[in-house]
Amino acid sequence: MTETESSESVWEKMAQVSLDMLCTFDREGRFIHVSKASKSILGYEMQELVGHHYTEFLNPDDSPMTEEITGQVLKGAKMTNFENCFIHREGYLVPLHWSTVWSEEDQAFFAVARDVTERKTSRLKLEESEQRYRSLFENNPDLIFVESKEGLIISVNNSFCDTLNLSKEEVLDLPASVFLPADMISANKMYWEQALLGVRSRFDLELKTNNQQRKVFDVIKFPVAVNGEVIGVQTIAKDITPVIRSFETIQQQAKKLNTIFESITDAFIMLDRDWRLTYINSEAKRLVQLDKERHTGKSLWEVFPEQEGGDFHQNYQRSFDTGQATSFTAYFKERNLWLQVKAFPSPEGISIYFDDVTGQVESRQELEKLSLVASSTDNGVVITNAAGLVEWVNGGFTRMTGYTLEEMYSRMPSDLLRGIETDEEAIYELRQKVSLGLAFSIQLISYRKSGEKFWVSMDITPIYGESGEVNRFIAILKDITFRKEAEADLLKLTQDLYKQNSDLQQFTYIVSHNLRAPVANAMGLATILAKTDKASAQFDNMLSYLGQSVRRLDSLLRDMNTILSIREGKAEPESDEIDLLPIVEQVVSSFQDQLLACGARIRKEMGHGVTVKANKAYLYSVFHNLLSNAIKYRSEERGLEVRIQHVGDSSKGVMVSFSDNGIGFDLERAGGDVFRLYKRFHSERQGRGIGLYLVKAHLEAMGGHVEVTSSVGSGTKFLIYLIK
Amino acid sequence: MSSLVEATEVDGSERERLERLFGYSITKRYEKVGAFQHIVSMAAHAFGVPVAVVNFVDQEKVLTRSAVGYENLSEVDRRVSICSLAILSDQVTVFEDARQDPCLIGNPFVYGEFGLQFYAAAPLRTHDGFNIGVVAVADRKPRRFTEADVKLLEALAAMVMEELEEGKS
Repeated sequence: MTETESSESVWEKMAQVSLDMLCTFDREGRFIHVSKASKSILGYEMQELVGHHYTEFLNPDDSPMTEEITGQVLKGAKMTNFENCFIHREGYLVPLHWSTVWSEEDQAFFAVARDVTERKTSRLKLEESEQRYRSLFENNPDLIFVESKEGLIISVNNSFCDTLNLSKEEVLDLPASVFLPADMISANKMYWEQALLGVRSRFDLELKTNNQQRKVFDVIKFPVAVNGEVIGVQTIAKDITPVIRSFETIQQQAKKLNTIFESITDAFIMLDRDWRLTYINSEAKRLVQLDKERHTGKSLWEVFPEQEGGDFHQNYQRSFDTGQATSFTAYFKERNLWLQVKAFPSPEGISIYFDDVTGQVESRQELEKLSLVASSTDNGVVITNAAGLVEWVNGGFTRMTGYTLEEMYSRMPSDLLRGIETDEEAIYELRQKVSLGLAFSIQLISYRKSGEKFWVSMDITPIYGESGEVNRFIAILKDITFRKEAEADLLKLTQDLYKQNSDLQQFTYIVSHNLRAPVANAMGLATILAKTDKASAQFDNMLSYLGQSVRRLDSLLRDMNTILSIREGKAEPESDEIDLLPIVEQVVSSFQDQLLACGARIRKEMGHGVTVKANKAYLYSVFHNLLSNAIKYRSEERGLEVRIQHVGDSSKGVMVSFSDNGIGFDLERAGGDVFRLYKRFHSERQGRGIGLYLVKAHLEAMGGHVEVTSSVGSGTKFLIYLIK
Repeated sequence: MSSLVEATEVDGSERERLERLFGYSITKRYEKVGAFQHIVSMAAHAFGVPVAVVNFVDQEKVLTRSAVGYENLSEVDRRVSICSLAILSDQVTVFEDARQDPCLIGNPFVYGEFGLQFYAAAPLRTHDGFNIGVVAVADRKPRRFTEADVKLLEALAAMVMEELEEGKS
């Protein structure tokens, strides 16, 4: 092997192991020789490339540039640093870094191509990451600027420009003081210096934005270091205005809430779940001397140690446990108050409203004390509110009426106790008095729960409150049935006595009055008889009249027996079914002689069978007295005419009219006293009032009725009503 | 207001009727203690009613001459008075339950404050057949009125007429 040969073969061998592709081209650019690396770089064997023009494998885009370079190389330039892309057998592009030279002597290009795929990729990655950073920088919504070691701005992002309405040119290479507010310049400088020393800082910055809004930024300033050397300072400013604003809103709302809590007229406190006071309003301060400044944050049991485990504690605890609102009234010893409390639990704690009810509780306790006294008496005691609705009744009341407090509560006593015989007027009066707030006493028929009737006496007293208004009534009830019954018995006794007395009077009058006429009649007849010729017809006539008179006397005496028997026991006169006409005829015949003497005419417009339920003696007395009166008060100017007429029957009774044409009397002057028992007799004629009194008394004793009308000079008319 | 008697026009027979009425000594003055007071008192008692009246019907008004339980009105417009209806009949007019009677729908005596529910009236009939007024009884609750009651009321009307005739002579 020659030296040349040997050196050629060395190169040959080296070309074979080189990772770079060594190749030669002819003047036109066709491959003459290619090293083995072509296979690994382009996927082609040497034989596949030799004789082919390089452009067959070149990325067409790179063709003009490559052509130009080869032109320059032909002119003698040595190109050691250009790149183009070849197409791999598989179809993908392979970036190649070329070093090439033209050899005039060999009439060939000598070229070395290095596969730079890997280098290219990493460079792309670098570019990409740089771009990503750039994009991050530019598009970051936060304001970012970078200051150099000299304190000049070297970079700002879009957000910075947009927000502050500045262009990059306006700030680049200038200090930050151009856009910072005056009061922040020195602070910024200080933080910048610290950043240069490697310390990051955070602070708030307020800036005026493009549309003149004031915005607050949360600013971070930190050093930018390369290989441990600080080359600049980056500043990121985050707009926290919305956060600030919402914080302000929260503060405003808190303030508003505070106003609300303060405006609650009830005292109000809030506790967290560890019993710590989180809120105290001013009413709470006034009522229980809890102080906002001193006590907020402290446990309620720390402030009021004696209350721990007490009523309040237990109630709140229960409310916490059940999650239910609670309300209760309890004594607050520390301040000597009764508090009415409403508590509302929540996950955060408990809201407590309370109010001073000491006055109410005391008055209730007073009521209870009063009740205690009242409960032991036998009298019924009822306590009502101002409207008359029951608040309390004692045991005595329940024993008396059968109604318990539960049944009476919040009702008007009169609504439960009244009944059919209760005097509605009295109830009305009672309500009137109650509404006027007057003390009064009343007696009423009431009814027990069982329906049993009883008499009750009520003493009602209004109780006045501090401001002078009635705030309740106390009624003391006594069962006075016994007394009332005794009264009723007494009344009945009195009535009986009165009746008996009046019977006796009547009897006396009948004796003196009714008997008088027939006796006088008989006496008169006897006197006349003594002077009359016994043989004459007149004598016989008179004798028969005398006989009639005596029989009438007998009849009257028998009737009086009846009256006497009434007096001796029976309250009501003995009634019989009596035919009216015979009685009338009997009466008329008893006055026969007097009627004859005055030439009177009696018209009886009445048939047989007109029957009434009456006492015969009374009935006789009625007609007797009427006829007697008619005769007594007959007119001197005309003959007496008496008309006894059966007017008609109603479903229950019989009406009879008895009229005369006598002197009459002045009805208006007599008024309602026509039938009164006259104490003084008629000035001219005797006995009139007694007769009418008897008529009325007897008729009414039989359940009948009488009406009269009269006119002076023309006569008198009686209407008599008798029951059938 | 419902009108019981529309025609108050003075036709021939009405003129005659009014002549009869004015022939009696009936003053417009209401007298409690009057000529018929005993009759209305007795009527109220016998029928057990709170109201009894003697009324006369003139051209436009119904005049109360005597009354029990009817103190406030001494004369009433003829168009609303039930008595002016009663004189149209020679029989006794009876409303046992006035609220059930279609003739009286809307009548102020029945549906007003007075609250009339029972009414019976016998005409005051002159001997030549003119009805110049009534004897009437009334109640604030419905009642039965028997045939006997009708007779008695007629008898009371006859008594009134009798007394009127006496007053005339």
